[in-house]
Amino acid sequence: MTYSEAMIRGVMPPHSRSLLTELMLVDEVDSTNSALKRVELESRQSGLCMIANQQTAGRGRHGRRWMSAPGCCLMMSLYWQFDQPIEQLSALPLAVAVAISRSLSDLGMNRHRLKWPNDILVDGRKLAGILVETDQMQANRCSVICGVGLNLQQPPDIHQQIGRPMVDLVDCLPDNSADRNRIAGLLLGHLCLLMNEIAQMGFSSILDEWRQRDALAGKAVISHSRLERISGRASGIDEQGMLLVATEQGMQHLASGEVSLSPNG
Amino acid sequence: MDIRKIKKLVEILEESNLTEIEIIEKDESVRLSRASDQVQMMQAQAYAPAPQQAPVAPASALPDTGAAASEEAEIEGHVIRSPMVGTFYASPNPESDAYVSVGQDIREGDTVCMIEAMKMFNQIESDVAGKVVAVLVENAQPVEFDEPLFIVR
Repeated sequence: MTYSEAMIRGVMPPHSRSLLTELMLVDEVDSTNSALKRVELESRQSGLCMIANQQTAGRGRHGRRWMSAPGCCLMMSLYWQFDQPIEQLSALPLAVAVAISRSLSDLGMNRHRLKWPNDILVDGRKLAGILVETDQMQANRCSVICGVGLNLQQPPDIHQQIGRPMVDLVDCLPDNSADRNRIAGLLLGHLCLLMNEIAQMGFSSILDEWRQRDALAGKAVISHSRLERISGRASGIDEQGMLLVATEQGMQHLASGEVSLSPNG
Repeated sequence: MDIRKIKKLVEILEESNLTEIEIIEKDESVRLSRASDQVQMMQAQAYAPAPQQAPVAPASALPDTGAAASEEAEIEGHVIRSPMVGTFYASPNPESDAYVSVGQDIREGDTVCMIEAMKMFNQIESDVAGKVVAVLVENAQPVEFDEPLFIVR
């Protein structure tokens, strides 16, 4: 089964279609993020999107592999240019999570939660991953590539290989069907609308929406990085999208680190 | 500072993956870094109580990597700075080699490191061509906006 451009465009939310400048549907590619980076600079415009049926070298964070069987995961990357320096856009990964959240709500889902900064969880299991990478960085403008991998219906061996709690969209929806063109169209539309909203109005209302689905709020957490370990109570996010953790030393604003629930609750 | 102690520090630096060691004791300090092929050691003036000849380690103690002690300010060259708050990564993933290392010639546009913030990954490119003469931050270290990362000459 393959993607259909007409069907994808057909389900994109109103006002989002004009923001999509080019949709590239490919059967197989190393990674949709890498492929967009190879598109000639002059041909890249905001709203350039690639969707692949299969990635041969899908990438996650820190060079981790993003694994999927062919056609079992929605893999999409969107290119966008901003007339702002990158340091004003640090909350972009959270915004991409909000775009996924809006798409899931449109499909009738309501129990998904967002784990800082950008994991999409259903009952504590990961449904989607996000990889946001900057492309060009200049003093007053920049461009980014937002990659999303969303599990549609992965075979059991992929579940086994990944070895961490994960979930498929097909098991989250009431009718147990995940129409790939519908979810692709909704997600692409919401992503385009969000990028446009950020460029015009900033992150404020997007971060409020993120807070309503915060999976960690009020919970005891531990943040690990290679150099430090911070434990405390997750207390939401600040205006830059940094995680707030109330610790014995006061409120910490975290920009990085792997955050997990504390086993001591 | 005792010359034997400095020799020991040189050995520690050589045996480790560190690019720099700085020791401050009372009114003396010494900083060793793998910043050039020349062997130079200087005691930091700010801490030295009186003018003193800088101890020089025997060149034979130092293989190719070399070690040189200097104050950051003494390293001249073009500074590549962090465009954002985040975490500095010297390599694309924990298993691979660093993007660049001291002594390496780089071209304008070459990726020198990755800065991660809120899981957004930013490959930092050099805005000049030249030789990397200093790496000023450690892998996985948090960095501030505009913090100097590399010196290129």
